[in-house]
Amino acid sequence: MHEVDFGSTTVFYPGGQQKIINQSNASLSTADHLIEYNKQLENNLNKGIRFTRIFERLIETNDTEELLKAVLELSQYKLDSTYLIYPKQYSSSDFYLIFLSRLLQLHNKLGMILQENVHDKELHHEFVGINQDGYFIFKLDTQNPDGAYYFEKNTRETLFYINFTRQVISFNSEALTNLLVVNYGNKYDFSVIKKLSIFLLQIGRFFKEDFGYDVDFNYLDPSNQAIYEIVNDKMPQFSLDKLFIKASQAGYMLVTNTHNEAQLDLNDGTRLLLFNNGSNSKQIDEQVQWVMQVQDPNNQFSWLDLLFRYEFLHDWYLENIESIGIKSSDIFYKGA
Amino acid sequence: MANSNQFSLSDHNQATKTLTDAVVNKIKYLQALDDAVKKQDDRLVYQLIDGARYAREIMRARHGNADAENEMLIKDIHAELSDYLSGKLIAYLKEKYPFFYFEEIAIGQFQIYFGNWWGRRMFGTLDVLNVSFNFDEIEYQKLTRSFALEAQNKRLNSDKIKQISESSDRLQALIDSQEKRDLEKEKIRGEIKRTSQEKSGFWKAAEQKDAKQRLVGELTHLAELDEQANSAYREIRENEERVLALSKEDTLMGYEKQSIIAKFSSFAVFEEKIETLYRDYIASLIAAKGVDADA
Repeated sequence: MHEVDFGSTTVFYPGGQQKIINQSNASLSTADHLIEYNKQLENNLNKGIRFTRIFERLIETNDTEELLKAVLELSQYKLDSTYLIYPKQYSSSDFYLIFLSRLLQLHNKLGMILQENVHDKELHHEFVGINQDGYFIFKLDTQNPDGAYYFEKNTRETLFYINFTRQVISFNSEALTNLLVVNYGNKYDFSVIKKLSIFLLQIGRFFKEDFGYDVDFNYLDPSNQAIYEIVNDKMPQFSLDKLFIKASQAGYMLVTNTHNEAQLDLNDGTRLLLFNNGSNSKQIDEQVQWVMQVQDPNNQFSWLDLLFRYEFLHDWYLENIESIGIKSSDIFYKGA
Repeated sequence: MANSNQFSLSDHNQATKTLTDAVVNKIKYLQALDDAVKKQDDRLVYQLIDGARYAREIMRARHGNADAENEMLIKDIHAELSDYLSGKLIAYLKEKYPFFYFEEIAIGQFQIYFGNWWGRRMFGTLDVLNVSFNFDEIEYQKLTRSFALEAQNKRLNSDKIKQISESSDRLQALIDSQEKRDLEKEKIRGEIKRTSQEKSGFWKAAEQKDAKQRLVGELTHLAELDEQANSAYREIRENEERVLALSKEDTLMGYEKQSIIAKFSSFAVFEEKIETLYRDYIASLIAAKGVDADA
């Protein structure tokens, strides 16, 4: 009972000199604790207030730069302390989701819906048209805290990787194929899937234009310059022969053009090219890299468009994906 | 003083004249060729390099002014001649045979590709000096047969593809029936065991032996099928590759046939035109010159 009790404020020591020193030490320590407690509490309340200011910017600012700054600060923000625990908090994934929604909103793009899950209060994205079949969240990159994957929870398909420090976004061809082409392709009209792909493209474009990010759109890229590398770096002879036969049955002719590239002219000036984009030098370390390229007069079609517009290309791609499947950038996998 | 013991020798003046004439004749020949080339008169060049053929085919003369000796003079510049003559000839061929593509593989030497489609066939070489196609015999045979099969509504490889597909179906059935065979073998082994254990009288022994032999035979047959099933996956894969190659060939032959029909309406007309290529080409050169002269 007469022992030092740091938990209480009452300490009596009616003893000698030495005890008094002890006593004074003890009471000093207690006072310190009180001050410390108050200071910590105040700090923490201030921290909470500061959080609300940043959070407010995230949900209300009309400036994209400020928006990006807000989300980066929030994703690193440690709100809790020993003295103050906030029971209701959003995760980094949630902040990123809010951020993306706001970014599209600031660009007047509607159709991406931010939803809160009634059970666990987790946020997620849905897209108009495929609401039931798309539950998108961010999954943090465990190797790299500044990286995250945009991820469909039910199918576990990861559409793209983003890294805020390296300022890159990289789309994943495998997930594009599995989710958009196969999964959604079997359930929805192309018009619905096209809308989703436009959202994805827009996300990349806004990052590129607003924040100067380096964006690899993979086969969503409709630009004529876009070159899609395929998995089999050698000439995919069998696959090309199969394309030749399939195209012929569909009424199109795969030809060898003057640059010795495989060229398939489709409707309305749309052209598919397959060629070796490696160095053609006769050096020992000759690089061979076969690629696909889609060209059209208006730079409006990507490989994804062709997959939906031409059934024989869709079948050919899925049947030969081990050889002519389009690769994803290394960064996508390095981030993993 | 004349030495009567000497042989009489020919007159040196005469010899000089004869030689000069001969040299002048060659010079004239070469001069004519030189002029013709300078004037870009390919018709005359063709006449000079093979007078006999020109006389026979163009002038319809039995005995033309063949000049084989002089023609020998240019034997070592055939490549250059061919290179020169190829310019107009290939322009002509591109118009008349738009489905042939020519690749110069050495000076004056040309390979012919049929079409520009994927996997197009190397179809032979072009003999510029003789204005003729040297088609690859095997490839040409395939084309001929392919046209012949059209009457039966078949493609060149239809039968082969059908045969291979049937073989693959049979192999697949073998793979699929593995379980059934395993049960069957089990049953037969059981029967064999039972047969050997049965005591039987003298009269039945032979019958029993026969039965056993029959069962062993069945078992051997099933084991053979098992073995075939083991290699079936590989064979089916190989079959797929063969069918792919054959379908590819059928596809490109389809394009070859279409090209010929589009330009010549039938294979027979195409073959006739190939025969008269030299005459037709020289005639076109004459006609072109006539137009020039008129202009």
